[in-house]
Amino acid sequence: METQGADQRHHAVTDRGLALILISHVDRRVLPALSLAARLPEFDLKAVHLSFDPLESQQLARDWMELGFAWIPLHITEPGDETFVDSVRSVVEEESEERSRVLVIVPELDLDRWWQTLLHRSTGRRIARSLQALHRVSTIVLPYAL
Amino acid sequence: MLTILKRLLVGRPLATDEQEHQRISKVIALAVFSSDAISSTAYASEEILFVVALGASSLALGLHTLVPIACAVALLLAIVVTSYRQTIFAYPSGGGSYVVSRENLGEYPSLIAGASLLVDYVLTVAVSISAGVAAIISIPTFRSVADQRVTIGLVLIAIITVANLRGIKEAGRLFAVPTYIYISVLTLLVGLGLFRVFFGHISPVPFNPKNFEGARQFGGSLTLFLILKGFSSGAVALTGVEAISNGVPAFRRPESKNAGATMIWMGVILGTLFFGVSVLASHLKPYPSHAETVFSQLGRAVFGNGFLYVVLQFATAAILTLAANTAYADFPRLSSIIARDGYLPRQLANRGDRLVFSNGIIFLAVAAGGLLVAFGGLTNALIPLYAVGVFTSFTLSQWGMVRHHRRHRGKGWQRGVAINSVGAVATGLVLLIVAGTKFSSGAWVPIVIVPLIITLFVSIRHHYRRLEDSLAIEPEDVRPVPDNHTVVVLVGRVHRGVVMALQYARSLRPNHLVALYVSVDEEEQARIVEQWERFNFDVALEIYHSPYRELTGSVEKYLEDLDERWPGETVTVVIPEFVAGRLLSPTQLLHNQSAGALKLALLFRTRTVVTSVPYHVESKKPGR
Repeated sequence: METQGADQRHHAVTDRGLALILISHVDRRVLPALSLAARLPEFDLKAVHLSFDPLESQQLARDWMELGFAWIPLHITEPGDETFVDSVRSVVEEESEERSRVLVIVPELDLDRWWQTLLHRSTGRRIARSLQALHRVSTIVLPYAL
Repeated sequence: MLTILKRLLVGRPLATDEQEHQRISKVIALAVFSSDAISSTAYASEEILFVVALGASSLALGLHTLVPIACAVALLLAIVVTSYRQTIFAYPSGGGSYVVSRENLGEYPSLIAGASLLVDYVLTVAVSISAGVAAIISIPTFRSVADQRVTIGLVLIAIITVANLRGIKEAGRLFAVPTYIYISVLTLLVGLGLFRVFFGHISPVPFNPKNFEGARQFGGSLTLFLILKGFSSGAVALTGVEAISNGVPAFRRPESKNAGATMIWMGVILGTLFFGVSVLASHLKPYPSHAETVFSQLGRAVFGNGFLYVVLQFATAAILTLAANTAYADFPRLSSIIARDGYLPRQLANRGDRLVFSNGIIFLAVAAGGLLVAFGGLTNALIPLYAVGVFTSFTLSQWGMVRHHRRHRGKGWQRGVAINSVGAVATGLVLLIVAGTKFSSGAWVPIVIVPLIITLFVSIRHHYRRLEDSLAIEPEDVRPVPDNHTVVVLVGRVHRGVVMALQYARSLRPNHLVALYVSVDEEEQARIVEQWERFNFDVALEIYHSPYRELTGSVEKYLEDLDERWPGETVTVVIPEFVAGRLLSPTQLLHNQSAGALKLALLFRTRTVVTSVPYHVESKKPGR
């Protein structure tokens, strides 16, 4: 596969993978994901935030920069005509078209009491299920124990 | 399969951009936000009669007090509408009592307002649906299904739930037609009825003692308590008045002006029709009964059993069923505002597929259905539960508005203080009357439930706060960010030395790791590529074509490209080097010559490190 170099002087034989970290909040639950990402030198890194509220997203981007996470570029995407899980799938599908492999990292709270599931959206497993049919895509749901 | 079913029921999802087009005109808004308030004309007069006529066991005594009570309710309506217009202009982003209380009175008053309103929205659905079913089974042809009233009610709730899940504008259009038919036919009923009362001839409703349920053997006396209790029942006509102030953002621009005008229309229509029905009833002498509604009796007296009567009954059933839409429009909106403040689960704050808050809609439907089943679908049994919440939120909202005017002191603030003070005192007084006179007959239910909901709100908020604290990150909590680092492993041939070099490169944990082969010969290149793929190294091999068969310049140019690709990174060039058993063997000299030149060239390059990973050929042991 040709690398899109400035003047096509070189090309890659095995393309670099992409590690896509889904970011809903900038707090401790993203730390294991960042730590994992730092151990993936063979992957390009990208953080993706699906924005449902522009003000919240602005604050999230500010926190991202202030906490020094800018070594992973943060992409803020506004979801289209889809639900949250479908929007994630679309983003991943689009990325996977140009990559040999995509690793999706989903930070999630580890909920151990039944009532906590009523108070939190646990989309990690739903995302993993939705992505399992995609070729060259694997998903890691990274639980953060409360 | 589930997705297909969801699409069929709920329709295609809407993009955020389409939200603007979901805004509704005044004509549609009047139907969407006022159907609750206007539809209460269908049962408010009857509910007064249920108290004053049955309580005193004398229909004549009850009818005698109907018009004075209706006057008091109409005056209260005028006060509340005038007060709420102030809120609409002060709070164009909507939110009603909850937001006004939160901003002016503090946390707990706002939670009381929020919980009260949520309870009343559920009751609005239950009461409207049960009254709608009562209108249908009042028609003589449908009397046989009277014992199925709960089932019919549940079916109607299911239909209206799906209609709302499909989106507010479509729902608004759907609901506008019956609302306007109802207003027209009721105007005709009141107009024609009163004309015949005063200028023509009309017979009163024939009294059926069997249907006049609750009539006792001995007559009672009409005490002040009963009159106040009757007034409390009539005050249910005001439920839903606040809906417009909650839904200001759904109006077309200028939102506040349009919402304010709609509020006035609604007040005039509701007040006139309610008062008209009460005056007509006082002349035609209908009796409260579970078998046939007062409205149906009036309809048959004025229109006979013909077409207009049937239209009246079906329009009544339709507007009452659709009146629940006011709650369907506002319950999810209010619960989402409360959820955003962290007092309800975050799921309720989410927009559903069609920009309505589907979780809230579903919760509302389930709760209202439960109430309908629990109270046997009888409007009369549900009414005492009603109105406590609404007058609590009215009072808090008006009190909050007084504080708002005093704090902001905008243009005409003194007038605002006067209007809202009158509103606060009047609604506060009505709240005390409703709670006092109806406590034992059902008002205790919301009085108990509202504090329980507030406890739930506070617990949820406490959970989220605790979680927020435990998840908060300070800059010092974050591990040092790996220095932006790219490692390039130079590859000449595929051998053990390359494997070791790659292992070493990985141990540096760079942000980017690539292998570079400088190609001078296509055949050689094809061999390397084939080997690389066969060994399945987990590192991208990039090939740089060197037109001048020169290593150093090619690597330098490649590194320039890398600087463009990943700017600001430190680059480490890892060179696997043979160390032969004999010092200065010809092979080693050859290799080291190229490597040495490269090292020298890169020595002067900024942010570039060159390192060799030696491979001891004889010992075949990894060396560093």
